[in-house]
Amino acid sequence: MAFIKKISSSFTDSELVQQYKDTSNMDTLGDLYGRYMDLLYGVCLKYFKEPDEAQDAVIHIFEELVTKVKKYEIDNFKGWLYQLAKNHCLMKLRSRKSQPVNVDADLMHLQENMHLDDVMQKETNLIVMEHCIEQLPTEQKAAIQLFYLQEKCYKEIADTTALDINKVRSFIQNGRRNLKICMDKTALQKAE
Amino acid sequence: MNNEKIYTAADFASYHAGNMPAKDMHALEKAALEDPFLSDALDGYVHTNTATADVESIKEKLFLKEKDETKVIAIPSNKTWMRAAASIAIVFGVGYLFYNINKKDDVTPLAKNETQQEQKIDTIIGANKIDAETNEATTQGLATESQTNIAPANGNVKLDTTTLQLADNNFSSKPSTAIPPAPTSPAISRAELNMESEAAKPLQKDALDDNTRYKEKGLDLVQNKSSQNNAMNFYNYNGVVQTATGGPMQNATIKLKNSNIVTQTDNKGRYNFTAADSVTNVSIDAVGYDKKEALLNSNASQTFKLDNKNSNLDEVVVTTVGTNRKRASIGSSSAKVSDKTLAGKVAGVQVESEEADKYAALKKQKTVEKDSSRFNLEAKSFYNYVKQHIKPEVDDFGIEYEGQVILSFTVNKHGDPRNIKVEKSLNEKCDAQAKRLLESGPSWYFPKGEVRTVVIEF
Repeated sequence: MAFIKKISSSFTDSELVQQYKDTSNMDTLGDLYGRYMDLLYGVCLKYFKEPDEAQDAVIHIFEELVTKVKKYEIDNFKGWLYQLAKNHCLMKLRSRKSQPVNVDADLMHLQENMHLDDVMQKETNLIVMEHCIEQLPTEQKAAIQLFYLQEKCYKEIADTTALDINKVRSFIQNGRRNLKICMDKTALQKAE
Repeated sequence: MNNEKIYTAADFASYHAGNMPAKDMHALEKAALEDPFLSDALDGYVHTNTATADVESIKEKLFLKEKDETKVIAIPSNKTWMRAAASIAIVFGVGYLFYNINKKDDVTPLAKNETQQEQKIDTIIGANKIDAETNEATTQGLATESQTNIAPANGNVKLDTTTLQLADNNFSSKPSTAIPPAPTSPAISRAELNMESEAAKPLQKDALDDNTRYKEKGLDLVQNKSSQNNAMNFYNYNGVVQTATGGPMQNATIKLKNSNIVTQTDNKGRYNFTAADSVTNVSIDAVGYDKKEALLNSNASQTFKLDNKNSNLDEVVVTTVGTNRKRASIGSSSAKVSDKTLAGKVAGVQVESEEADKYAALKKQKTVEKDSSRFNLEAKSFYNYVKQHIKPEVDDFGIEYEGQVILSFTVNKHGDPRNIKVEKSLNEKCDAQAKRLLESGPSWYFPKGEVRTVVIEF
């Protein structure tokens, strides 16, 4: 399949976007899309919960791209594509209007782009972080420690703590958020 | 971002299947925490068991579709032939199958009939205990009748025997006019008791001792029904059901006791059905009326009146048609109905709640707003698209056409414009381009079935 083979895998997303804008070459767009198709399919599945519909959606999103990529200034193709895909799915679901979209708020993931990893690597922040972890509620603290410090996966944590895997995930997510808030606060205090 | 590991459908599949090493699972989870895109995708794959195959099929569809759109209709030679061959093979296969099935049917009609008959007999025996063999009895009984010439004046005969009787019946030795039913079912015996004269009774007893019975009274039974024994329904019932005031009662339900037969009255209140017994107990029921139990006699047309139901409706309020919603306005009396379950129970009474009304109105308004604003948004993006993509069409002298093309269209479930019609034409070239623009432009999401129009200016 011509457009899926990685003919231009050495190019960055933005380079490919530019190339497509210049040449309107479908293969370029296809190559770019191919990078994220697996992810996109997953996102569509998450919304439609049904493989056939999700597959259709992936195809329609590509069709949208054909025109939209040319129209917009795209800095971060991946993020932009993700947003586009979500909008597409939501729009579809809404247009059906038979059932309300039930998106479990607890299960939806945090959208803030927190580069916690970067933060964690910084030695200077380590002490602050340790302090902040201590401030967390017990369950969040345990989950965070197991996940980030002992590098356990959700399932392992769920097994060791005898908690539901979704609980584990939400503890980690909330722990992360609290940790970030705490660390930002401390950083501010230090700056003053 | 390219230095991140790129996860594929296969990874997600093995994650959900639990085949992934814990370390990799952790890495994926960690990456997902940083990347909502990845995280949603990971969640999504819960809904499929065929992740990699799914993605492959998307790729295939996209590839084909894309080729179509770019008008590179390089007919994939092999595939077409293979498809054609496959369809021919299928046609032949199906044809052969059909032929075989039909052939089979031809060969075995006898066997089939036999089984059918057997089944029928089974059912009949099951239902009525006796009917199956009455054929025989009828013939014999009738034959005897003509021989001995003691048939009742009107010659109407009812036949019914028990299996026991059949086992050792001796019709030929007994001069019989008819073989009356043995008391196999309560309905029948009641029928007998009702219809036979007192005089007939002792005789019946004697007859019972002999395992054969006589009936001397010529009952007004339908003669030609006796030849339809197999059909089980011997007796015709008809009559009328009326309302308390004597009007026709439509759609009253008449249910036969001891049977599954249910019938309804027509628009003049008439009923007409056949049943196995000459007299039958029924219940007559209609919405809003008291149920009535009755004994129907097949030889008389009967009329029933149903009484109005004694419904205790403590708070029923009827608002007059045409008044506005103001509660307790002059000229119409209204009050709140506390019991919401009234809805649907009383004809002509509309049960409404204020909250529901308000909510419905609000909802309607919102939907309209939403729909129209979405349409505006879509229209806007479409016109933007047109602005960017429209190319002037020129006539033979190289002069640009100017004017409008108006198109109407509907959408399919994917939001693609369908049934595009030119409402106002400019010229062939411009019309064609306008259509192309609409087809290739952004998707629309207004409700299916609605028609929208767009104006394209050249």
